[in-house]
Amino acid sequence: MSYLITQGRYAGLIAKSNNRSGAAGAAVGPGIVTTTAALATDIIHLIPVGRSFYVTKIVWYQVTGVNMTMVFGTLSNAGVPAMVQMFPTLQALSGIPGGLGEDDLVGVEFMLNSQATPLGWDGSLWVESYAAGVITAGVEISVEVAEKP
Amino acid sequence: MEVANIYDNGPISLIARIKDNLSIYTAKKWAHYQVAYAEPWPRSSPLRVDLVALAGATTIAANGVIAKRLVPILQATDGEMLQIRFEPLDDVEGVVYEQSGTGKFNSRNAHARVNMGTCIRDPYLATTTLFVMGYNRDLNLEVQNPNPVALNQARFQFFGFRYVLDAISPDLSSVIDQRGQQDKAKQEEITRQLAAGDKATVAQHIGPTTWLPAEGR
Repeated sequence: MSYLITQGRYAGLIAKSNNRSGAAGAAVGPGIVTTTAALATDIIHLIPVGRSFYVTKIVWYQVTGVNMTMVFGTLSNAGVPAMVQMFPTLQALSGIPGGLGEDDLVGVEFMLNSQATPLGWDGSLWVESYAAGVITAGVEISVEVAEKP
Repeated sequence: MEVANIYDNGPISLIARIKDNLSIYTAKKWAHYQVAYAEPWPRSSPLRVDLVALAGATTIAANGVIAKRLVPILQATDGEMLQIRFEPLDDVEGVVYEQSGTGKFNSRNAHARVNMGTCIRDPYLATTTLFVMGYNRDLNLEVQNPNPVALNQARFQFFGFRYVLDAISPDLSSVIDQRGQQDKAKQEEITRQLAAGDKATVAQHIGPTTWLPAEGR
């Protein structure tokens, strides 16, 4: 557990990992979420009822042989939900593991906004990966979050 | 030792000392007692209950509920009263009923819960204070899982104080009429006023007392 879970802006929050790490985003205990396709959105952490959360760590690794971008954010409440980017676009370099900790990540608070599109979003953590002309499946991602009860 | 207000926002402490009086709203009337005995109920493993196990289940489902059920460790007997605070040890929310049908911590449109965050803003858990009074007036606990994943356990930790109470029956034989006879009507009126919680009557016939709600009221 990160020291910031007990200190600073994350004091008293509940530390957890990605809860949608099962096959096809099934809810399971913490594990690794693997991206499925280029520009597809894959869920990493589904927001609990009545909570908000901060992302305190993201680590990733990809083996497809191509560098690709990753966008982390939440999804809009549109009929066809669109990615609402919450962090700067990240690069997943082929064969090189990467990661960001609390000191690197913007302290955005993920929370449900139930308003209709384009104002609202679902508040969960999603990822979208992309590389031109490449099926960008297979990026392995693990996160830690701090949930505010 | 100083006696606390019943929902004191500090560490839990006795609401009445031995030989102090308690006036308790229970079974739809005020009943008056004297504390015969009081002892702490320290936070410890026997006062911990896993509602998943208690329900005979293996998990509490994702965003699921364990229906309200009796918590045997909190059952009191006649003449016994428990003063309790509690918190969940797992990431679940507790919903309290006193008697199985009366919500505790509720209002017209809301029924508050106790969760893992309660102790962050309320480190002594003062807002979770409740009382269990006597036989067959038990606490029921419902559990809600706010998480989108199933959890294997839903533990709750209780602690507080246990009291033994003696009912007070004021001697009304000195209530006489102008002829020196027992004034039955007046005596019945005093008994009725005591049950109604009339402060002046209680002050006269019971003495100083601490007023206390029980059973979710």
